[in-house]
Amino acid sequence: MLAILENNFDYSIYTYRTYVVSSGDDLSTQKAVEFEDTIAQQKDSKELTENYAIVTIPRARRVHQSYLTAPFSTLHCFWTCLLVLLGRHPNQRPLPTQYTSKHPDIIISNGPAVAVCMILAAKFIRFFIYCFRWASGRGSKPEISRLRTVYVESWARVRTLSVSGRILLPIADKFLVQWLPLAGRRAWWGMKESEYCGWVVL
Amino acid sequence: MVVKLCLVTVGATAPFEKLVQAVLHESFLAELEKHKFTRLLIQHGKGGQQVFDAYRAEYESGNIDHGIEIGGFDLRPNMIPYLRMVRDDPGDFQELGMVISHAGTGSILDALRAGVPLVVVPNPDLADNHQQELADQLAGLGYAIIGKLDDIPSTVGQAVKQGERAPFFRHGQKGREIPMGDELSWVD
Repeated sequence: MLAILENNFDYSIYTYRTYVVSSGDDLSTQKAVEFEDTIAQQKDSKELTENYAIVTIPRARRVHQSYLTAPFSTLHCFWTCLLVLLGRHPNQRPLPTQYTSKHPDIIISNGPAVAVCMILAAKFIRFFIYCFRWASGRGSKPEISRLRTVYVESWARVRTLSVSGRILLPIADKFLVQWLPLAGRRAWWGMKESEYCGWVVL
Repeated sequence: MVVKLCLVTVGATAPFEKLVQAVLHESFLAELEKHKFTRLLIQHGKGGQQVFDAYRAEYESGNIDHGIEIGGFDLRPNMIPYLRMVRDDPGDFQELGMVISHAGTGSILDALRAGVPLVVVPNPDLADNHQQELADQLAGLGYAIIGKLDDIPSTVGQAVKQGERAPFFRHGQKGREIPMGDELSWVD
């Protein structure tokens, strides 16, 4: 994931980052902190430091956890994702005042079950925002959409989609693949296609 | 003295004793010597510890004779410093070596980023066929060589040959930007 961000990621556009890490994955937390440190050094500007948060999320299913209890832990995971997207997770501090919305503009993920929960949670919130706008009679007025979701399929997937990928193909707003044989896949006829983006991890 | 290193890595997740065994076999070591390698460094993991210790015991008792310096370690969280030792350097203390890796994504990516000749050895004990798919695809593109456990020695010559056309596999281009700017200005 960090390799993707290292490549030409524009920090003047994506000014505030929230890193979502599975609980127990201390290595990823450490890597995210190191990564932000290098950005801060590059930019050499005080206002850009600490423009990030790292939140940890319980796993949807821990390794060797029973499939009987997995639905409950998945719900717990989903709930925590909702809190993060609403800016109410305990690991999050209040956003700097220049940000008008608590929701992230864009969610990018390449990952496992937690990523699936996060993208589903984003869609869930957007559905409510849409219903609210429709009910309050503002449905016809265009508005900038937040919580856009981007899924990058694993580089290890050459000809077949991963389980996360198969779930998210009809759901994510943008579905990117790193190998040509996977380009142009769609969940069913008439839906958007997966897009080939080259090797973004290298 | 010029160092020419062959780095073997089995990754962190699954044990891969057979690969450790294969690279400690005399036929492989002879092949390394033939291609002027000076060092063999093995990241053997917990599973390969026993094989490696047994080999070392035999070496110290003086039963084995070859000109290659062999080292081994269990696991390091960051393999990049070791991959740098495989690269050729302008100061001419290092010659371009080679990497023999299991088919794990992380190890393959690290080697590709370093731009060194890479041999990928899929683990037949793992029923993970998408790793095989990845290895086949990379071999088709010329980025890697597929090694079979029963024929590791022949990969040395192939890797040296791949190193000769270094500019081709060492593309050195920066990764691509993710095309997602259009999502930011989405209006609905």
